[in-house]
Amino acid sequence: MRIDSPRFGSVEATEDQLVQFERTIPGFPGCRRFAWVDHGRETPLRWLLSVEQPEVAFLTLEPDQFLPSYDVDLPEWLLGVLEWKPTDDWNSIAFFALLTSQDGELFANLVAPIVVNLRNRRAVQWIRDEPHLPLRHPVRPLDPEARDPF
Amino acid sequence: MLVLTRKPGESIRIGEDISIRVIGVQRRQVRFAIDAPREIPVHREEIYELIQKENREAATSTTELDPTPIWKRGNEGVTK
Repeated sequence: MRIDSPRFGSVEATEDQLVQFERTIPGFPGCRRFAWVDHGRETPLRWLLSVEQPEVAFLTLEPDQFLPSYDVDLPEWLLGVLEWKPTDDWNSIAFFALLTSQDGELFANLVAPIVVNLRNRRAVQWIRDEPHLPLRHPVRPLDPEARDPF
Repeated sequence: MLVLTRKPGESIRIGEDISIRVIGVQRRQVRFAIDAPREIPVHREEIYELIQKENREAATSTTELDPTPIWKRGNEGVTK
């Protein structure tokens, strides 16, 4: 599939680079399918580029990259929407925080991470109704040696 | 807009499979029990609006941004 994006130019995305959102992303009702575009340049950053509205792209980062203590307790309805079964590999569930840029810094939304089942590429923006989670958590890379071994 | 009056324990049904029951009223607070199919998201209105706003901000604030220098700068002072 070819996506013509003002930011990335013409992007060729194979089926395994696409994700399908099973619920509306708040604020973007017309965007259900996205393609992964690696930012590269020696960063772990990745873009989610909208297939339906290619002018829309989200900058994302796995919370592991900056906050190994980001705990998740996935509710059953969410695993159901992602069609993840208890016999499936736990590693097929991946998390990505949407990043916002403000005053020359990057901030991660930890209230509403993107959860993806890598096996079937179903995705949901999970709104965690937990008052302690920050909407804008400053993103600072971790020392690779200090990474959580898990 | 439809306006209804309900007592604690009574419900409102929306369509075939959404049911909202009043389970408690205390002073200025009302508690609901909501039954809806899992494909129907249910959120407190202000949380939903907050995420909507932040998602739009995430998309627009990075439209013209090259995050590489920000990431590299962060890497120079890595968290030990």
